[in-house]
Amino acid sequence: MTTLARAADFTMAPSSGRVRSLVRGAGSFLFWVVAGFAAAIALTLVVPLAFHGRPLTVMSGSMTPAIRTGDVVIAMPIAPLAVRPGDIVSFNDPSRGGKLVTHRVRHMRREGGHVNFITRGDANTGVEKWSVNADHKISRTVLRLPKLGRPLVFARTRTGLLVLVLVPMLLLGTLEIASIWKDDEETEDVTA
Amino acid sequence: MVGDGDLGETVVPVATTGYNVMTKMRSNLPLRIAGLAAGLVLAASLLYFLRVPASDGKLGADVRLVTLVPGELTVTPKDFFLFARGLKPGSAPQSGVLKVRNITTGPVDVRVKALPSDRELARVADMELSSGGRVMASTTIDALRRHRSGPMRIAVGKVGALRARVWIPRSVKSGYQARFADVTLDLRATVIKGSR
Repeated sequence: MTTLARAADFTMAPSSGRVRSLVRGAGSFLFWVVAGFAAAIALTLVVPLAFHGRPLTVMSGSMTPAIRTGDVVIAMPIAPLAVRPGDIVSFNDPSRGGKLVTHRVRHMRREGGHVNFITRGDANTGVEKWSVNADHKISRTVLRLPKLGRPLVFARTRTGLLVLVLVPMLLLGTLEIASIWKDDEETEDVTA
Repeated sequence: MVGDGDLGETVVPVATTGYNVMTKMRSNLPLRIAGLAAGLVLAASLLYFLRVPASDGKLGADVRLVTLVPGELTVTPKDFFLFARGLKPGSAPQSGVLKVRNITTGPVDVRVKALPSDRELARVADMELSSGGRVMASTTIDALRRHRSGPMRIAVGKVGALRARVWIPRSVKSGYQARFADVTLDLRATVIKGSR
């Protein structure tokens, strides 16, 4: 019986080893697929910076459904006269105290050395009227990365602030108090 | 010469394990490169679909339908039930459905009038209103500003579905580019006398 069992072990061992090796190989492959994917996304966020572009996190739903809250858009610099109605541009809105806004161009007209724009969020009914020097640059949205900026949007909410600031602070405080307590106990032990 | 058996077992596998790790790394390398390449290709194709192409400069019209509701009725959704974006001549009609509930004690006939915020766009954009497959109106939005639609009858406590379709006819050449109209649909309910 013992001999038979050993023979069975001998025949089973290579196949189970092969399965294990296959699973390990598949796991490694998947890991590198995810790593490659993540690296490409990270590069997409970083490379535009070298060309004066910038990734922007969308904080409101004014461009829904084209761009939603929490999406990250890549905005690249463009001459105002190269913009066409229908393009999505990022600009500092003078009516909102210079706040950076990403909306769609509805109308544009050159007047002297300036280009006058009328923009509107796709989900909005009101428009923004602003102008920019024709020699300056504005940003045009070239890419949208859905939901990538969700953590940042969450961080700006009250709950997000609570989770990301207060909870770590409380944890740190608790740990610090615990260590002080521990030190005191050790000192007492030594003196005793 | 190794005197202790345990020590001997400890020493020998160390060299073997190191060799195995190196061999494994080498044998895994093509797999890793293939995985990395697959991840990069996957991301590149996704990014290709997520790009925002430059506009061709021809911006369509946007039409939003909101409602003005009398006390005899309640509607859902309450804000707007159609936001037609980028309407261009010959493009497919965009539609939305408004659920209208009769909260009176008798059946009502509901007629609709359109109050557009942009008259120029209202002259070129067409709208069709229908309920239960029956067309109540099919005309320009501007024409519906002047004349009410045909009736939509709703029984006591029942909900009627008002379907609106908006489009710009192929023949239109101008008056729609980059325009936006908020069209308020003014619902008028008439309680039908003598029927319960």
